[in-house]
Amino acid sequence: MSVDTYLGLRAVALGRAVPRATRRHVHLAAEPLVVVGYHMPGDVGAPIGLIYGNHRNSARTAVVGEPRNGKLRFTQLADFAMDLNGYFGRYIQGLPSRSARRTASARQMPPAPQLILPNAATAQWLCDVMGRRLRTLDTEGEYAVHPALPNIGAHLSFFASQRVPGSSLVLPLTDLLSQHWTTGQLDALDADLAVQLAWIDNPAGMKEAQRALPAGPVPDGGWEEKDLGDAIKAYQRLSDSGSNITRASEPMKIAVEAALQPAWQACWDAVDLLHRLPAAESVQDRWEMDRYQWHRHAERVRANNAYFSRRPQELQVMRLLTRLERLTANLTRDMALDDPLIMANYIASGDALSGDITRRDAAGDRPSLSLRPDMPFRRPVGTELHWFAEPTRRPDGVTRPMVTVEVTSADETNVELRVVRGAVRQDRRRLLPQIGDRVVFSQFGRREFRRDTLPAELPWTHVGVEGTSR
Amino acid sequence: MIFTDARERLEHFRGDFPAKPMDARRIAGLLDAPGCPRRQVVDAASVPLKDLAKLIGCKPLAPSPFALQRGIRFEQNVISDAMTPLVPLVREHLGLDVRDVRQQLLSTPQARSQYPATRGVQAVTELRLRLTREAVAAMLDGEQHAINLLHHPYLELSLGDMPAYLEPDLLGYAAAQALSPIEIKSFPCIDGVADPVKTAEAARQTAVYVIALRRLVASFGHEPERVASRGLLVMARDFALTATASVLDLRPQVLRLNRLLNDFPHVTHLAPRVPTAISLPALPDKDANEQQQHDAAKQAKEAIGALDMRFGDGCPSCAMFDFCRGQARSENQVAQLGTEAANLCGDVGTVSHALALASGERAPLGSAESAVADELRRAALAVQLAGAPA
Repeated sequence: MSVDTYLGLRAVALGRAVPRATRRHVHLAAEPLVVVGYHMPGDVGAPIGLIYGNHRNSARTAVVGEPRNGKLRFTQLADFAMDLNGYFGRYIQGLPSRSARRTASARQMPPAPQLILPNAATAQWLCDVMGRRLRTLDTEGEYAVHPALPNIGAHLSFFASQRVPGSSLVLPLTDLLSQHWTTGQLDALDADLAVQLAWIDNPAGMKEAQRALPAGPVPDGGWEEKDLGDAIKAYQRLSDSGSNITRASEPMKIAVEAALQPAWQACWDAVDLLHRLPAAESVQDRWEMDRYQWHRHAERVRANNAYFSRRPQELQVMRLLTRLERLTANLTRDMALDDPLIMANYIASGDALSGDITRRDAAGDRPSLSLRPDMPFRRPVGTELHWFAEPTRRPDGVTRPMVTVEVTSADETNVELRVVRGAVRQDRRRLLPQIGDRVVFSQFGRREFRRDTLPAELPWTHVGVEGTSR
Repeated sequence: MIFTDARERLEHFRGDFPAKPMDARRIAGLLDAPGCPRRQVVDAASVPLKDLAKLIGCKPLAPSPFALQRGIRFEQNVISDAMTPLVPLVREHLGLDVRDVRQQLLSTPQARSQYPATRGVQAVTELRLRLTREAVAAMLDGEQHAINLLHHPYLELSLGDMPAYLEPDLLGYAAAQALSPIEIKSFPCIDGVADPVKTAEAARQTAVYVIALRRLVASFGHEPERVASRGLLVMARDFALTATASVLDLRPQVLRLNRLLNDFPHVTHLAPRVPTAISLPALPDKDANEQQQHDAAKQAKEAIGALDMRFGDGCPSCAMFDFCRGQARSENQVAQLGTEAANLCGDVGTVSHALALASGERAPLGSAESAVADELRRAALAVQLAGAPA
C-alpha cells in the first residue's frame, strides 16, 4: 500500500527504520519463555542446541553432543523438557466455570504462558515440528524417553495450533517488528533479526549485523563445517575416552553458546523495543481469548485428553480456514481502529474518510452530516462507512457506540453523509460528532463472531478437483 | 567493434572468463528474476554465476556439508539393493507393475573408461550426449514395466538459441507407455505434508528435465508426450531416512518453463544490451597475487555494472545479490524497497525524486508522474495527520 511505500522511502532517506504503528498490537507477558535454537541442516528432527529462559540474565543451554544420535538426543533434551514443563506447569490452574466466564469476572481469567521466538521459521520448527516429534515418543519399551518430552510435545503442539492472526501466545519477533516498523530494505531481508534491529535501533551497527550468525533454526554453513564439525568430533573423542555425556558435550555447549548468544540478546532487545510502545486498546480482549484457549488445553492435559490429529480431515480444515478468515478480518479491523498510523493506510488508499465536521443536522427524519475531507474521497454514492463514538462505561463493561452513515455526495472539498444506523433514534442523536470535530469514517464495523453452526458437510467450494491426489 | 553474429557479441562479453553450462536449478531459477537483463545476459553467455559473484565481491552462500551428506545417504538408501525401497513406491503411487530395474552410468569417468580414445572436452561432451540418447532410446523401446535410472546423464536444452547443457546427478524413469520422472530429495514429508517451498523447487527442477527429455525424444521422431509430466517425488518419511513418495503433477511447471524458455530473449534481442567496449576478465587462479585479483575484480565489476539491472523482491536468491543491492543503494533507487514500491513509483526511479514529489517540493512532469505524485502526497498527508513526524 502507498503508506508502506512512503514510509519505506523515508526510512531509506533517514538511513533508519520508521514507525509503522503508534501502538503495540500484541500482548507481552510478564514472564515469557524465549527460545533460540539450531537444528541439523536438512534434518528438522535433530536439534543441535537451544538457549532458553524467562529473563535476559537467566539463560539455560541444552545441547546434543552428537545431534545425529537419536538415543542421545532424547536423553540430553530431558532437562530442557523438564524446565519447559515447569514453566507451563505454573499456568495450569482451574478454569473459571462457564457462568463465571460470562460475567465481568471473566477478566479474572488466569494468566497464560507465552513463547517468544526470534523468527517465524523457529516458531514453526519448535512448535509444529518438534511438537509433533516429541508428543508421539514412547515412554515405555525399547525407545522409552523421559515422560517430560511427550508432555512438552503436547504443549508445543497446542502452541502450534495457536499461531494464528491476533494471537499473542507465540510471538515470532521478526514478524512483530515488521508490523511495527518499516525498514528501508526488501521485505524478505527483514527476516534477519540482527539486521532488522540495526535498522530500528542501531543503524551504525548495520555492517556488523549483516555479518552476524543466523538466529536460527538453521545454522550458517561455515559455522556448521568448522565449529559444529569440531564439536561433534570432540564429543566422539571425549566419550570414547570415557568422559560422561555432560563432559563430552562441553565443547558443543561452548560452540552453541558462542553462536546463539547474540540471537538470545537480540530477542530481549526486540522485546524491550516493543515494550516502549503503549498497548493497543483491543490487545487485552485478544489476550483474554488466548488465555481461554490455553486453559481449555490445560484442562484437557489434566484430564489426559489432549489428543492432536496428525492430519486434519477436510471438514476440520474448512473450519480452520473459516476461523483464520474471521481472525484475520478482526485483527485488520482492530489494528486500524486502535492505531491512527495504521488507519492512515486506509485513508491514503481512499477506503476510509477523515476530515472535519462542517455541518450537523440532528433534527428531521434522518440525521445528516457534512464533512470537509482531508483529501479527495473517491468512493461512490451509497458507500457505507462506520464511526465509533467515545467509549461509555456501562454496568456490563465498556462499549463504543457505533454509527453507520451512507455517502450521499462527495467532491473534492465536501462529503455529505446520511446516518443510517446507530444514531437514528432520538435518544441516540446526541452521540453524533459536533461541528469542528475531527473524525474518521472507515469500512470497519463490529467484529465478526464465530458462527454457532458451521456446515456439517464439506461445501462444494472446498472439495478438491477430481483426480488430484489428496 | 562490430559483430556480425549476436552470439559473437555475447562471447566477446564473456571474454576470458570460463564458460559453464547452466544446470536445471539455474534454469528453473530464471522464474525468480524475471525480466532482469543483467541475469539474462550472464545466463545467455554461459557465465558460471557463483564464480562471477565471488569475483565481484558477493558473499558466497556456504554449502552445508551435513545436509549434503544426508542427501547422499538418503539417495543411497533408496536406490541400493536393486532399488528395493523404490519399487513398492512406484507400484503404489504410479500404479505401475514393475518387473525390472536398470541402471545406466553416463558420467565423464564412465564414458572415458568405455571409450578411452576420446580426447578433449568437446569430444567427451558429444560422447556423453550420444550415450544418453542411446540410453533414452533403449528406455523407450525396451522393457516397459521397468524402473530405469540414469546416473549423470547429459542433456541439451536451448535457451534462446544458445545451447545449455544439463547434468543431473540422477534421473529416474518408470517406464509404462510413457516415461514418468522420478526425483529423489531428502527433505522430510511429515504425516504426508512436505515443505511447500522445497516441493515447488523440486517440481520446477524436474520440469526442466521433462522439457529437455521431451525435446530429445522428439528428435528421435517419438511423441514428446512419451515423457510424462506426472512424476514421483521421493522424500524422507517423517523424521527418519526411510522413503515415502508423492505424485507430482508437473503440467503447470512444464507449461510455465516452456513459455519462459521459448520467450527467453532471443540472442539477437539481447545483443543490443550487451556492451561491446568491455568484457569480463579471466578468472584469477589460486596463485594470482593481490594486484591481479584486484584488477580482475575491478574489470568484472565494471563489465557487470554496465549491464542494466532490474532490482526486486526475487533478487535475494541470486548469487549477484550483494553487488546489485549495493548498486541500487548507491544510485538511491526506489527498487531497493522491492517490487511493490518500484511498481507504485513507476518511472520515478529515485528515492529523493519520490520524496520530493510527496512533499510537493517538486512538481510532477507529465500525467504518469502526476499520478505517482498524487498517491505519494496522499500517503504523506495521511501519515502526517496520524501524528507521525512527516
